[in-house]
Parts: sequence; C-alpha cells; structure tokens
Amino acid sequence: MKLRIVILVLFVLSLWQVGFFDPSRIAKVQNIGPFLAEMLPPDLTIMPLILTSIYESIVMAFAGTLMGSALALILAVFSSRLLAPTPVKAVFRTILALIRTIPAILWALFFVVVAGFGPFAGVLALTFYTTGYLGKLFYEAFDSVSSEVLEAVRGVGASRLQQLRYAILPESANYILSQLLFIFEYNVRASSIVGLVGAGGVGYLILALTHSLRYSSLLTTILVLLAFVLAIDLASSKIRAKYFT
Amino acid sequence: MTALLEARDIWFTYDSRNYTLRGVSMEIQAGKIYMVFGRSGAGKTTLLKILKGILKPLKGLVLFKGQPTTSSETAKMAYSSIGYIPQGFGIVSNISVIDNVLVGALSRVPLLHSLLGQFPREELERAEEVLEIMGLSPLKSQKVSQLSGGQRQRVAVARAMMQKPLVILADEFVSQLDPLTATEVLDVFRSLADQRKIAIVITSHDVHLASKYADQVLVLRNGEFRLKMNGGSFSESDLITAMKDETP
Repeated sequence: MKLRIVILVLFVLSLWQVGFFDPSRIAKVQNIGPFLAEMLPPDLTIMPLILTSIYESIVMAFAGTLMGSALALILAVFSSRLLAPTPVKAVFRTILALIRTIPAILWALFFVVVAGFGPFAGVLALTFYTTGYLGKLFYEAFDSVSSEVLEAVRGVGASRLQQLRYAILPESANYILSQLLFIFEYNVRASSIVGLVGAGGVGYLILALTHSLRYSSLLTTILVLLAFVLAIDLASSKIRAKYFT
Repeated sequence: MTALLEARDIWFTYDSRNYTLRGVSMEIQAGKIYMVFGRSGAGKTTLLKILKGILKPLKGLVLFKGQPTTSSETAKMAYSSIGYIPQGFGIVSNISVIDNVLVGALSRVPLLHSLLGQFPREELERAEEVLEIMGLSPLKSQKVSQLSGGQRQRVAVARAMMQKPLVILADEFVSQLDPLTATEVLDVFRSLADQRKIAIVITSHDVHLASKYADQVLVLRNGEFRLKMNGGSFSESDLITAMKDETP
C-alpha cells in the first residue's frame, strides 16, 4: 500500500515538474481546435509531391537496409564466439555497441553536416543504424547455431570460413532474412524521422510543410505516409509469418 | 595386429569431482562393427568424443595406427580419418541433401572453391555414388528440413562416407529409428565394414540388434567397461544384466 502511494506521489510530482499543472500551458490546449480546423480538408493537390517523397524514403530505406546488413554481416563474423578469437570478438562487439548507442536521428545530423542535405545523408544514417542493430542480432544468431551441427561440420575438417559458409549461415538464414524484413519495415518509418533534420525523403517534406504552415498539406502527407507504413508492415509480417517462422 | 584406433586407460571428468570415464580401454580394428551399450549417462557419448578428438582425456592415450594422438600430426591425421555422427545427426537442415553430403569433402577442396560452392568433378561423382548407395539419389536436391528422421540419418551416414573415413563413430544411432529403418541402416554399415574395411563404433541403449550386427559388444556402466564379448558369444540378457548390474 505504501509503495503504491509513493509511486502515485512520484507520478504527480513528475507531471508537475514538466508543467502539467501550469494554467498558462493548459490554456494553450485550446489551440488544438484551430490547428485541426486548418488541417481540414486535406489538400490533395500535393499528392504527386508526397508520392515522390515517399518513393525517395522507400529507396533510402532499401539502400540503407542492404548496405547496413552487408556491413552487419561482416562485423558479426568478427564478433561471433564461434568464428573469432576472444580479443577480436571483444573489439568488434564494442564497435557494434558504439554504433548501436547512437540513434538514427543523430547519425542523420552527423551525415547532414558531413555530406549536406538530402537523401545521401539519409541513406548513410540508416546504413549505420542498421549496422549496429543487425550486427548484434546476427552474431547472436551465429552463436546459437546447434553445437552438434558445428561439431559434425568441424569433424570433417572444415575450416572456420567453411563452417561459416556450410553450417552457420545456412542455419541462421531464416532468422537473418526475417530480421532484414523487419529492419526494412523499421527503416521506412525511420527515413521519415531522419528527413526531419534535412536528410531527404518524406520527413524533409513534413519539415518544409510545417515551417510554411501548410497544415492541410501536412495532414494529407501524414495520412498517405500512414497508409504506406501500414501496408509495408502488413506485407512484411505476412512474409515473415509464411516463410521465416 | 596394430589396432586402427585405440583408447588406452582413458579417464575423463567434466567437473573435476565425478569421473565420466574411469580407465576405459578399447581396440578398434578395421572392418569390424563395435556396439557400445550403456544407460543414459554411462559415458558413451564422452567416449566417442574422446576417440574423435573433440574432447581431450584427463589421463590416458588415444592411439591412431599405433601412434599417440598427442602429436599434432597424428591428431590431424586421425581427425580427418574418423567420421563422427552425433546423436542428432548434426546435419544442416537449410541446405540440400547433396550439399550436406559434399560437406564431407570440404577438407580436400581448395578453400576459395569450396566457399564458391565449386567442387571438383571427382568429388561430385563420389557424392552421387554415395547418395546411390544410401538410396538418396531421388532426394538429392531436396532440403534436409523436408526429410523424415530415417532419411536424415542416411544423409548423416552419406556425409561420413564422403569423408573417406577409416572409422565411423555413430552416437545413439539406431535408438531413434523404427526397427525396419534401423535394420536397413545397419545393413549399410555391415557392407561398409565388410567391403571397404571401415571400422564402425555405434553407441546405443537398445540391445535387440546387437547379436545380428556386432562383431564385439561392450557395456559401459558408471564410466567403466563391465562387459566385452565377441559376436555370437553373448545373449541379450547378458547385455541387459551388465547394464543393470549394481555389483562393483
């Protein structure tokens, strides 16, 4: 009972701390009405631009997923306890952990500074995010390959690279492909986020529409993006359920 | 006659307190089938792993053609001459039957060629021949995940044969099969032993097929051999008694 009271008090305090009980802020909530009114009706004249931007986002997600997964695969080989000596494994796992620590939007900020605005920076950001995320999943998949299969393949005198080619990769293939689909689905959503800092795609369009106060165009963009994301989610989960479970 | 493979006074422990094997010795001659019986935990799998060179004994020696495997050259030669089929067969389920069989040839194929999946013609022909012997030719392009338990087991034997072994070690090999399939696979082993002079060591806890196929039976209990008898000189009840016997 005491614990529940403590949690309740902490909850109320945290709301107070971030301004939930500030009357001037509460008064601003009434802006929602005019804001929504300005969004309606959705502006359909912007559809060609939206479709072009979403296409750019999907291309960014696709390129980022493939480049990131290729890098992840290489780093995972050097991070697997079955394939790399302990010191090498430790170094590569640390590199992957460092890459993973940085969220996609920070990678995007970094590459916008380095390579300028546009989808090129976005693809690099998604590549690095994908590398960090998939690298860990891949080496964990490699390490969970059945020890019996490995013993049998080692038992014929196969080298480590041959073990990778003929036992580890085939045994983890379903999991790897399933994760590739999942990260592609994630990257389509993430590509709209990285666009918010200028890294191309539909996020860049959302940023431009927000700055120019074109809320009815913004609503159309968000609705079309939502439809695309839901369609890709659905297709991806169906493919994964059918082929990779 | 020098044994092809010999375990001499082997001691082994996993936890430095309880011995899994206690002074086990056995000689393996070319062209013979050895069946090692024992209850679960008797030390059968450990013995096979030591013979294969996967585990190192705490005390004692493994000799290949009379030479101790403590020398790295002999160990390497022994390792590549001994085919090992683990309990779950150890086959790769996501590749085809013929690719699994070709895995047995990996040590003879140049690294780059093997990574590109390019095997020399003589290896491909040998794989076809082995598949024919094992009755797997019609299934060669199928993924192993689509095969039955008996067919998977044949793939494991085919891979071991592809290795051109002098000895095949098969762990709990017949226990998981229906009697008819077990008989078919043991018939193949018999012909491998008779015609190609391959020595075969099979561990099992099922004594029914021993009298028909084994040239020597051995019973392992609590890490020690309690019975060693040559083919024809034992009965099933001898084996069961030795496996159960509680006298020291």
